[in-house]
Amino acid sequence: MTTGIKLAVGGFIVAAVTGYMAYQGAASSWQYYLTVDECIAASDNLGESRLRVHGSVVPGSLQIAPDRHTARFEIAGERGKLKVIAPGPIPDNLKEEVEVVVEGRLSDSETLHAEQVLTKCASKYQSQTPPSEPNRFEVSQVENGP
Amino acid sequence: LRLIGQVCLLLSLVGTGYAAFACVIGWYYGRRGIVRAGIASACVGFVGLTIALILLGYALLVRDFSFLYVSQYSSRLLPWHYSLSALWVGQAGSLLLWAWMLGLLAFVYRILSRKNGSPLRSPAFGLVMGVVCFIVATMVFGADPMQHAPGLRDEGEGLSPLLQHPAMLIHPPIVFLGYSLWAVPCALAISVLLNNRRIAANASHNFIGASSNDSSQHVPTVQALQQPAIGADWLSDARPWALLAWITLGVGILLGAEWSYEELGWGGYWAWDPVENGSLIPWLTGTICLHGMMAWRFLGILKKIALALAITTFGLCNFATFLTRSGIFSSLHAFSQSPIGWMFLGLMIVLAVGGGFLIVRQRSALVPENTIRTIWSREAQILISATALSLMAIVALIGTLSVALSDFIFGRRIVVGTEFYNNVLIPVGLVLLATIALAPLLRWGRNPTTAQLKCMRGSVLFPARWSAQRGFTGSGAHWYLALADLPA
Repeated sequence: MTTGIKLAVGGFIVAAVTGYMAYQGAASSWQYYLTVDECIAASDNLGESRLRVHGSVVPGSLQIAPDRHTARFEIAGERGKLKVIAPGPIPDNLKEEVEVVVEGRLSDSETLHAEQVLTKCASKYQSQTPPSEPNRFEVSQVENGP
Repeated sequence: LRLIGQVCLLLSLVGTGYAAFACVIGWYYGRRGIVRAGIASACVGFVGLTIALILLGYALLVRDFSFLYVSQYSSRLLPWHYSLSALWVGQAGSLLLWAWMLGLLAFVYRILSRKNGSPLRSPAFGLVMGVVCFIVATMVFGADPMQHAPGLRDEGEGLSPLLQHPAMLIHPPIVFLGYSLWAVPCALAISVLLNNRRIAANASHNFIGASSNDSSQHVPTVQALQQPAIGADWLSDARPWALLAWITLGVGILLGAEWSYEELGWGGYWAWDPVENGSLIPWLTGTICLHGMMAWRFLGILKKIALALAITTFGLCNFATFLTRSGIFSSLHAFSQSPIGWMFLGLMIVLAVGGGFLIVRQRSALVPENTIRTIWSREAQILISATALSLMAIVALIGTLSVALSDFIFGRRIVVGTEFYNNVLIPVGLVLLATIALAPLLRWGRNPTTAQLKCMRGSVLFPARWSAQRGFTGSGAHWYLALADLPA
């Protein structure tokens, strides 16, 4: 067997094992990525699927246990809201109006049991008012890549 | 001030645009006067960029809220160093800084390469200026850092408290610098391909010209008209830049990981977030490129890999920019959505298609000078590690694109979790570990010597024996010790 064939066979084996491991990883970890509104609309069909839901914490809804091992809050989309029950440790920067990504499963059509709560890197402030008015415009921050 | 800044940006657009055109065309057709005019034009363009950058920095320091950019990212309560760091916080400012860094690096390259008299100086300089011109164009037409703020303002929006962190002062500019540095090896790789084409075209032209003047001349043979082989000379220029770019980007990635670790809720050191992957993928391809350059230098092999990856790595730096600007990826980082991202994707496609075309056209000049004779040679181990790194980069790219691809194919956005990446790291990491340990102990082009074999045997068996003695008890360790052929 020539060196070229040996290298090709070795490369094929590594590629095949990598592909298989990637498939296994994807099969066990894939999640739907949804906004709050999409999640509410599709809640009947989602069942026990793992979800990653993006929304912002509703002002006045955030309740964090004194030991910071549980938190309850609501996340809002453009139209609807979802209740979230999150286990600890709760991120320090979890605050009202902060954008979060919640990973977990729906327990009913309105409640999301989180496995992990990730806060968005504070990269974007977006005003609710039209950008044409003075002092009110979208502000974007940290373009981490150039 | 804003008006001066806008004029400077326009001057820079014209200056760098003409410089790119004149340096490449003047060099290709051997017109030194045009090249000199191009360099003068580049100087004017770079001065314009420098003034624009100083003006924006000054406006941030004095809190001149008539600049829209300043009113968006600074405030009177913000400490001066964080106010200045707002220069790379927003889209327009970061583009200005990136363009300035690229311009500066183009001049540094030109000055440093003056002594070696490389024929690639002018085209490489012109190509980097072309990238500067492209970025200035995105500012002029899409994200003007000198834009006027509507209405009168006494206070700005300020910087998010989360971003008021020491890492904010160094992490983004170091990542920008890493991306910028990759432009030089990329420009040199394109230049060396263009240079070979130019030499072949000139040789062919001279030969045919001579034949037509003197009919007694021999008819040019196919061999005579073939493209000359591309030598390793260009690597003495490109490799130091690639090494510096690789180190800088690596440091930038590590600083970002450390910052992410400190903020509870950002997923720890590494969350396989698209923006994190966006900087990791060019670092991985850059690693392969560096090793390809080494194999080319010592044995004249892996030429196409070295050239293709020098171009691809800078292309992937633009892909990272596309990730942060297009808004089609689900990221923990939130970014502005603007057409600028698609412009960077366009640049990446141009680099990929143009680079691929040039490599295919020059394939006869890139024939390996040696073959890999044995699997126990350094080049074989480099090839194996390059395969492993490529697989890692491909997996990271697929994972990053999973949301966009699934949305396009299935109409549903699906993300893959960390298990997808971590599973792949096991086989790939083991292969890399083995090759990284083996390659420095092996020779180029030949089987290892007896002394090297002894050294390798010791490297494997001594830890095995130690582990067997410390880690295992009872009969389970006997086979290990027997393998080590050493007294227990």
